[in-house]
Amino acid sequence: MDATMRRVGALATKDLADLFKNPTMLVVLLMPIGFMLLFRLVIGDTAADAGLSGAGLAAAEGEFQKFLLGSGLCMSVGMVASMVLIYGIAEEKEKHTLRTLMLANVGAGEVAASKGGVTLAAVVAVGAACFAVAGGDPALLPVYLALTALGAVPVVLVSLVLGLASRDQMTAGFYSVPVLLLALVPTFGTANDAVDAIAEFTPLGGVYDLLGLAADGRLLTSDSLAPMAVTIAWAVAGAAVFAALYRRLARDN
Amino acid sequence: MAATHSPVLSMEGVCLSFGAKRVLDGLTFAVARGECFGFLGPSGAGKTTTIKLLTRQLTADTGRITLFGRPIENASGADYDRIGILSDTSALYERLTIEENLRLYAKVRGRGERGIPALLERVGLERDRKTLVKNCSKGMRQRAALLAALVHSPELVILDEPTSGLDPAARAEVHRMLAELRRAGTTVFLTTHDMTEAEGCCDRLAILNEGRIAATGAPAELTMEHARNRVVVATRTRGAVELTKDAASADAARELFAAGEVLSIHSDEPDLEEVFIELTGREL
Repeated sequence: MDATMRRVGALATKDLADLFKNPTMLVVLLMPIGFMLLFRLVIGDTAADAGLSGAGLAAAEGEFQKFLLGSGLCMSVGMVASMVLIYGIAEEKEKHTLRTLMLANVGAGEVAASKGGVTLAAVVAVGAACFAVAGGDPALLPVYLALTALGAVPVVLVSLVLGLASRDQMTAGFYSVPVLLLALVPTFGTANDAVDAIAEFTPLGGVYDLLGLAADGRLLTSDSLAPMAVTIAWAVAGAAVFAALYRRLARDN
Repeated sequence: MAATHSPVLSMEGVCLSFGAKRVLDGLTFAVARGECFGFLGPSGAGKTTTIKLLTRQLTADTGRITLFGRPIENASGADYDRIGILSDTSALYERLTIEENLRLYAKVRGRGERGIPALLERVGLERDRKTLVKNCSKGMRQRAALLAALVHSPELVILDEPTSGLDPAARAEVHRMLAELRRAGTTVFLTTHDMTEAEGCCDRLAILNEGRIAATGAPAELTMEHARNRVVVATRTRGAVELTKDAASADAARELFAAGEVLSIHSDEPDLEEVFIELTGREL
């Protein structure tokens, strides 16, 4: 156990350093924050220009704030988890560093624990930056970060599996796009009722709705039960997929 | 370094097929503690496949493989912590420096970082320790990868063509490291298709051809076993005279000496390459 912790710690230090030295990954980390800035500047102006005032303006601003925060959550999880993990593992396979590690007595589970942990931390950090850019109420931050982390769990687990399944970075691109799109579905729910109906059952649909309830001060009501169930179901499903496929995939090309 | 009798690794009747193709056919050998054992063969002979069996990247169809005296199926993580492996595809992290990579492997192997400067100095990389691996030459990368395999002072080192593609200076550096490992009593299992490397670095060799071991022995033994029954005498007026090494030729030799004809005498022993061709019918 000590040896495992030691190896995971060493790998996590390396993964964290590599995250900031890899220009592609840096762009991935900055992308959600950039989009948030763009949303706030462009859509924010549109709302202000709509001629609303008084209670109407306050309500519109509240809805816009929820949309911004929800989008920040979905983009942090979707972009960071899928791209960092799937591309990161695929690159290790393509450049044979994963094989070299495994020949140094490092297990695939240790690689997964390190990469999953670092990615989860990166998702939460990017989520916090998105929250700041969105101008969220600081009292909501702990809930926002907790929901971001909770929503990231199934996406991280599935991305780990897809990363291990990727032979190279080309395949990683093919695998990461569906994960990213699926993660972003809730953000489009406001634009279309049909999408909204589907969105609540997507991996981040539950936490997106929970965030909306938290913003309205209704997180601890019965309204939270359904989205919480969806969130837990996806976390369990992600864990099941990981458990079922990881051993089969945990070998180099 | 004299080897002791306890085998560090062994194979007995190991066979492996990929589909209908038999890639290893009844491999049997044992590597004693402290020995540098070379696996010599051309590309495709089965050298890397053998290493993949030893590192459990592949499983043999039949036969028995032991590691530190135990069946390889029972080898533990602790056993593999006693091994350093440089495979044909070993690679370091390109966006990290040589030193950062070595630190990673030292931590992964549960060793302190204090030995790293000395290791870097041993292979002449101390001035390049802050160089990103992506900016290193192939020779530097290979030496750094070798250090990563040695950072935990393993008892057994498995090296798959460690000098493949290196320039002469880098090869000499790797050979110097191998000599140091031998002096330190480290057991080395080395695959190569370089005859000079095999002859200079290995205590014993197995010549591998198409998945089978054609011969095993010390380099000198192998060449002596295949020595020709021939001595060539360069003479003043009679050109090169070929004599056999038996009593029948003694009189002829004496006569040449008596006549003052002898300029030089050469025993016409084969080198390893000739032994290989003789055993396998093909060149490396």
